[in-house]
Amino acid sequence: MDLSEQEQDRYCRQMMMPGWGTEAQLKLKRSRVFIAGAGGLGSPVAMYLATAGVGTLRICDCGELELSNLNRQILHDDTRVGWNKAASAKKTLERMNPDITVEALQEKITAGSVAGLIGRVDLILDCLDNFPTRHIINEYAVHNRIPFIHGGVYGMQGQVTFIQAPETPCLWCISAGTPAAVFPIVGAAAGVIGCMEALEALKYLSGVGTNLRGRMLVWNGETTECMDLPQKRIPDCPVCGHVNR
Amino acid sequence: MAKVTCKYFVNVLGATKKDGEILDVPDGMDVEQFLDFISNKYGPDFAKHVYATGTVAGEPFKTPNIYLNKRRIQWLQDFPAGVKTKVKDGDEFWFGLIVGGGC
Repeated sequence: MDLSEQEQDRYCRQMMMPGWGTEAQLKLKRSRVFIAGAGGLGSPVAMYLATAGVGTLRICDCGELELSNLNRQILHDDTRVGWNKAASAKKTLERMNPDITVEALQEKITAGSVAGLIGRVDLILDCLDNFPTRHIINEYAVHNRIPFIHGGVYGMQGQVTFIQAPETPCLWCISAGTPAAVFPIVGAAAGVIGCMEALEALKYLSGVGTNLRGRMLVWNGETTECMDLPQKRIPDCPVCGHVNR
Repeated sequence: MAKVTCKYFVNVLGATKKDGEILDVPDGMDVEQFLDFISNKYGPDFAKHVYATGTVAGEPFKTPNIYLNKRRIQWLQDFPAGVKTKVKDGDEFWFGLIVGGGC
């Protein structure tokens, strides 16, 4: 696998990064990533991974686009209200970068469907809006040793962390979650957290930089403050407690 | 009495109407008792964020969803007694920190 002249031109500014070059760009091109959710977090995540040249994006969302989504879900627009979000995402992303492959999955992620939907990928990105589904993905990621980037947002606050259990705590070790509800959300806040997730993904896939392993960054956009919280494994964690390093 | 700092984050601000306070806690109270106390103080809209419930690895769970002195109470390396850990003067509890939105 090589980079075409067009790809070298498209990615030249990031390839200028120390340690990146052709080799890291080819790593991105060979990578296969699962994005769970094509909404507020999924939009910046998918757009920045697509424009950075991640070879295959497998994006999953069973929801239909509503007008009230459009303050934050920038993959979509007014003309697509009623569309499935994964299908809309595929159309946008292929326009943004025709050199990549985008697979749109329109199914719900459940304990029964998760293996078939995710399959073998290099990385999973959590762009979901509820903890029950996050924990289904967390279990799959832990048991299949697939790195998993978690993000969450509410109003103007959010958090992000890089999970690769058992080297790091899993999502269960970090948070059991919060009740699902309709919550306030400012689109730009989802943009900030989504961009952090995308950058964590690009660092992992390219091998440039260091990830938020065993740390959780909590960002409060209302006060523009950050907390960097160390995270630990729960010794008897029901998900990763029995997984050996 | 022990003086305990409570910080309230976005998930629970609707119930507390303030982002923090210092509470006097009777000596000898453990974390579980303190969580019951503060859940009663602020009611069900607060209490639903104190404990997380659901299913993981096929098993139902109910577990505290709080931080004590910047650490989860489930980290037995730090809190060998878990929720039976005694509340001390100067402790700091965080409620409603981890947010779950994204769609």
